Amino acid sequence: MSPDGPFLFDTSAESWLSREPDGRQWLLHYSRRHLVYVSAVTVMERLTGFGSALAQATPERAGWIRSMRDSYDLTPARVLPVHYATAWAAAELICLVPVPPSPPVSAHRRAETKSSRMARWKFDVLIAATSLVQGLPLVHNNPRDFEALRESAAAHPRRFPGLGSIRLFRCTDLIR
Amino acid sequence: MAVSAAKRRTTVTLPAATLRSAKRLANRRKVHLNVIMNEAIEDGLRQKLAVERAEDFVERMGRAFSGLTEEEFLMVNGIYLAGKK
Repeated sequence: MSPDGPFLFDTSAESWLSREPDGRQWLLHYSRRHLVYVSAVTVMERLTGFGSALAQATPERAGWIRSMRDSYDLTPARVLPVHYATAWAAAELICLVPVPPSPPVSAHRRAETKSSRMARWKFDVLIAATSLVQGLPLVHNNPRDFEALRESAAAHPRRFPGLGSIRLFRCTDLIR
Repeated sequence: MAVSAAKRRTTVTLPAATLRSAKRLANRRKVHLNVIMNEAIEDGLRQKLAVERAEDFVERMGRAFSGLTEEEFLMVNGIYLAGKK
């Protein structure tokens, strides 16, 4: 059965779908029928990233980055908070999977530090917990990490009473 | 019929078949033709506004990410590379 929605969009999926032409077509079709749900964690990651890019940019580049940041407008979307139940579920998930399955990202002979990778892992766990608590399937572009969380939660249902399972869809699978 | 301050009277030109369908529906539901026309216009407007909002949203999201370099794109996805460039 082709998944219809509504969905929670992970940070990586939100940007991938917005950037790829086929992704944008899918996102357009989706947002005509459903709200776009994102976690407050995604908003924080996104705006922190724009802020960091601005801090490193030349004056000429800064103007462009500012206009791109201003285009990131989630007014029509629904931003979900991290409340007690989400934080509690995230804590359980971190205890089950304390180390991120995928290694730090590296590119052009540079790499994420371990602490940076751990911080990003905790944000992903919070997003997965949001999906679980809110009962929204999660659209992602990071199968190795999110599948590990899904499998761990499924293997320990008593630690997540009344929450069911984490449902996942990879964004590249949705547009096929 | 008196028109309240919150409403405005206007004239529209409709295809004859559309008007016949609306009248048939009004008869079936035993309501005034105005009720059917208002519902149809409101439902249609809601759908069209949803489509416009979706198009605007996706266009803005596209602009937010399309012009970023590879490293900037990683940053806005929470990935920060350390080391000398």
